[in-house]
Amino acid sequence: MKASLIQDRLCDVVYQIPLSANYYRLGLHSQIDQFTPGQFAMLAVPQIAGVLLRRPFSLAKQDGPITEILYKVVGKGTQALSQVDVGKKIWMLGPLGHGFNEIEKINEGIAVAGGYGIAPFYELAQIRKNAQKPFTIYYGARTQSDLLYLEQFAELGVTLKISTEDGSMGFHGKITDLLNQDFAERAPQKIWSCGPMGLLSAIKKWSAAKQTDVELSIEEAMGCGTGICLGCVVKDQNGQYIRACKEGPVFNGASIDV
Amino acid sequence: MFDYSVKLKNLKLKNPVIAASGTFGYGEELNDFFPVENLGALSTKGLSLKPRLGNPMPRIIETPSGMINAIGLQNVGVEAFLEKKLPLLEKRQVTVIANIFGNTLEEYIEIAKILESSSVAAIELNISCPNVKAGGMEFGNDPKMAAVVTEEVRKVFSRHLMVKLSPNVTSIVEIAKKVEAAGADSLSLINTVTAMVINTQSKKPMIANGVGGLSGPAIRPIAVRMVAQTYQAVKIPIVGIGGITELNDILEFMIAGAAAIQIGTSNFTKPKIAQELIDQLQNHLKTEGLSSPQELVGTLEGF
Repeated sequence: MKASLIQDRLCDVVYQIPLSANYYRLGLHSQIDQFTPGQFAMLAVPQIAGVLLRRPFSLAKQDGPITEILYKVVGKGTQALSQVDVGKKIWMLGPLGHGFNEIEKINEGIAVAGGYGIAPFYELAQIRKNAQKPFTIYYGARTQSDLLYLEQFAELGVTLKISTEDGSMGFHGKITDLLNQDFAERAPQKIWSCGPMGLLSAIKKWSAAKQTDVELSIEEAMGCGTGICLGCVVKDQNGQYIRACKEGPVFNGASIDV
Repeated sequence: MFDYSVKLKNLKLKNPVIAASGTFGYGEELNDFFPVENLGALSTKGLSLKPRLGNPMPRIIETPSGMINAIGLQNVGVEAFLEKKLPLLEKRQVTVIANIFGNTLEEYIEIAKILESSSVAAIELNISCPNVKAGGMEFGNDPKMAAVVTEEVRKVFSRHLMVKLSPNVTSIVEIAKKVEAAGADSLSLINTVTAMVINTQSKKPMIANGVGGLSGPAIRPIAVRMVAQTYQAVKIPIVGIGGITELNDILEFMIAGAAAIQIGTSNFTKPKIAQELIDQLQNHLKTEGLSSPQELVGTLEGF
């Protein structure tokens, strides 16, 4: 896969689609060639004052020159982001960091996503489809309205295994319980996972017990995204702090302490 | 004939724009965005005698027009810096200012001795560090201790010695005068302002260290004021630091008395900012018909 050079560009907003539960699909005319699922971008909304730092977002999809970002309004920054109309501009710095590996190579690779940790698996599903490899996503969310991209995954031929904490859709309970059910006797060849730290920690343990190769995409607040502020560190297996933005955000599960 | 270079006593910079310590790593990362040798100088991530792990997470929090950090001076240590990081900077002919800190006076001296036999152009003394031997009292908070550490490092380091002043003091002017008398070649100010943000739900500080250093545009007026006051009290050159994000901010600092400036937090929000400001400042000075940046320095009126 061709790696794109990092660029910092003032991009046109091509679409801004509100979804359920304060989620949005944002389309930016980024003109990047390609990204590796798991890579991210730092976005800045130039129109707002007082919000200093850019915000990191997983890159969800590349369609020609357009990059899609999936986000949820959680605070001041994302609130401002949601109010930028089509035709206005946003700074996008990216693609940044290291994404998931062996996407086209692995025969039986599954994804485990929690909440909007689903974002990178949209592009990953496209790559799996292009490579004619099957793809199953174990997708856990709080409730039905937090489940995103379901139609898109159906179109890409993805097998979806859904769990919700309130039982409003799919399996009632944790996604790890559903994994245990399906893989009681065996293990998948590889797991790509993205979601909250609690989920990543559980997936790391589960994979270790199953002796399965696992890659975890870490969600962290970030100051710069370029490796200089040292504000987004995670401990590696030797107890040293390494940067989520630079050495990650995707790490081999065995290499980090989560 | 326009000359963009700046002379801070015995330290020559190709332009007055320096990347501030802790906001440009060791010069590797942002080289993807512009050639790091275009900077007037690069002040390295703070170097200690031994490598430091740094503080637990969370380490940073955004505040109105600013941010608080408590990274805990995570760094590779001075020896690894010289062995693994400096060669790239030497190859690119970057003017390197080694920012250093110690937990004791002896550590400061030891690091300075090591750097004396290296190629770094200057040392920037970070004296905003607790002295473990003196019960955790910060070197930079006490005029006498600030003078002692400056004097001792002066004895073992022959090239340019810059001392970075903390704003968390009763009188920065008093400390500036003491440090000047102790042999500093220049002063850089200000370091971050000690600050705190509390999570009202958990009733705990928002960063793991409890307190951290506030930086960004929020502190700029404090920094400009301190540069203006210090400029009236000392003869050695001043390097202005604090929330610079655009050309006008640099002009403010220079008018207040800064012979050079450092870009800090803005490197986080816009990786090419230093290069942009280098170009904008040059254009501005030329447009104004000035022959060098020095002509603007200390031109403050009515103060």
